[in-house]
Amino acid sequence: MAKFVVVNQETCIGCGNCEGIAPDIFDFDESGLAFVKLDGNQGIKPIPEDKIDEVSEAMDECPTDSVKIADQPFEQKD
Amino acid sequence: MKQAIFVDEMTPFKTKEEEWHPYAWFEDMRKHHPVSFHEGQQVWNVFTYDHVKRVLSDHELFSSVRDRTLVAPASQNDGTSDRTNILFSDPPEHRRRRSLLSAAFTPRHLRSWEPRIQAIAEAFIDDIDPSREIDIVKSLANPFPITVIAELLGVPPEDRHLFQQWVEIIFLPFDKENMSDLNKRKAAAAQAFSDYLQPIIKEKRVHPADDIISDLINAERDGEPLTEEEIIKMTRGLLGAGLETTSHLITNCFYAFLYDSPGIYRKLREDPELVPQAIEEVLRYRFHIMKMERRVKKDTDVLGPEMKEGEMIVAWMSAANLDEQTFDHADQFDIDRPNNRKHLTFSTGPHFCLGAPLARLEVKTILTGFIKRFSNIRSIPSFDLESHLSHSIFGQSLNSLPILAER
Ligand code: HEM
Ligand code: SF4
Repeated sequence: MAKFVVVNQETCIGCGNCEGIAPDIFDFDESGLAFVKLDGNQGIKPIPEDKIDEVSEAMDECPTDSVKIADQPFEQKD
Repeated sequence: MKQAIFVDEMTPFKTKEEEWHPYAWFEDMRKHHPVSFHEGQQVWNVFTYDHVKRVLSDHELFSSVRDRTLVAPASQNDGTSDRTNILFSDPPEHRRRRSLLSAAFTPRHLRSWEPRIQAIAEAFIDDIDPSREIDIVKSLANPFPITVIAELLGVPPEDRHLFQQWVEIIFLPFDKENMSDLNKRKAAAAQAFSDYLQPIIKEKRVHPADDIISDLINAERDGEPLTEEEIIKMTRGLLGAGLETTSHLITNCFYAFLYDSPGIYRKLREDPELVPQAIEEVLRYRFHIMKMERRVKKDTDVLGPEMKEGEMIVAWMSAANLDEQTFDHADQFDIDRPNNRKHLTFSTGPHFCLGAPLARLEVKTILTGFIKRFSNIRSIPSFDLESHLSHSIFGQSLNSLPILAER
């Protein structure tokens, strides 16, 4: 099943864990907060199959629970 | 002024060596007294993985705004505003303070520093003479992190001995007998540090460079730039948080490779890609006495007993790191465990160590460099642990670690 991921930037502290675990998925913006680089942190592009494990590990090891994974694309906020 | 929590009053260790191997006590506490109140120190102590994690991360119930602490503060409150103190604040204020620094410490930013860190590591490794005994503490663990941070802050690396001295005094652990004397020495060292840094800051205002002090000069808080005083405090805070910790980790990696898991060095030499997971296992297993305190923010019984607002609580991360509920065969050093990054040595929640990516990078760089250079390491048969241990903010630390290395 397809999975989707976003970083909640309201709580992210830019600690680097997620990017250390899944460098192909996460990156940091100017202010040092993480975002999902698949789709500019919109949570609408499915995670590539072979990266799902890394992304779940990143979710587990995010100290602030800011990595959010879902089975559906995330709602767009404009 | 912050009041001390004296950990030694709460632990049963009779010798330094016992404190170096606290695992049996941790197990006893996890099993029989997972949440206990210490009358003498008037603090709660928690030991299991779930409790420790909850206390560190649930800032609604367990606050970082506190007047009593295990961490020796840099100096007494000197009256300036404290709008830059990261450690003793809660969200949302915490977030504004931390953001002054966080961009500089992201892995992406660190990547641009990697070559500089690599060059420093190589220079230290070049200086090692394998024809004699090597003291890991003196030759690598102490000077390497301080040289790296000098480089990143943008202060002349040759001055590192100067500020190493000041920083050592500023962050000396609490000593019940000599509090007032200690506070005087700390204040004098803090003043010397500040006098040293002031002209450097003035110079960087005119000629900014790619370094943390220049970043802080450009940073803004509530639309205003930081004052010189605030920049000095933040710099001092970084040194306090980042030096002894990283030195301790480097030394303990070598100790673990020699004594906790003999043979592992050869395995790492064959496959240096394993170094990062070996470091995580050292952080889990051989960062043996890490703990952090919080203040109960409102009355709660989420951990069982009724805790009252204002009471202090110490979360024993090192005990949590050995919890069988989270880590299989937790009492063994095993770099292959799948979840070793789950350790709580860098804390968790909003205060998760800001310097974790830097510490991981530094230690990976120096260990990998060393392992590539030397085919094996050996212990010294006459090594007497007790006489090599000293009291530090982590309980016991090795003050020297003599080893032999083969090319
Ligand atoms: C092995 C090395 C290190 C360990 C084990 C370590 C451990 C910790 C821990 C446990 C905390 C959290 C305190 C809490 O929950 O209240 C922390 C916070 C912090 N650390 Fe580290 N640290 C290390 C290296 C560094 C380095 C190299 C730096 C920077 C140069 C650094 C800078 C900080 C800062 C600024 C904070 C405050 C973060 C906050 O309160 O949001 N640390 N560290
Ligand atoms: S692990 Fe969590 S807190 Fe850390 S950078 Fe990633 S999203 Fe942010």
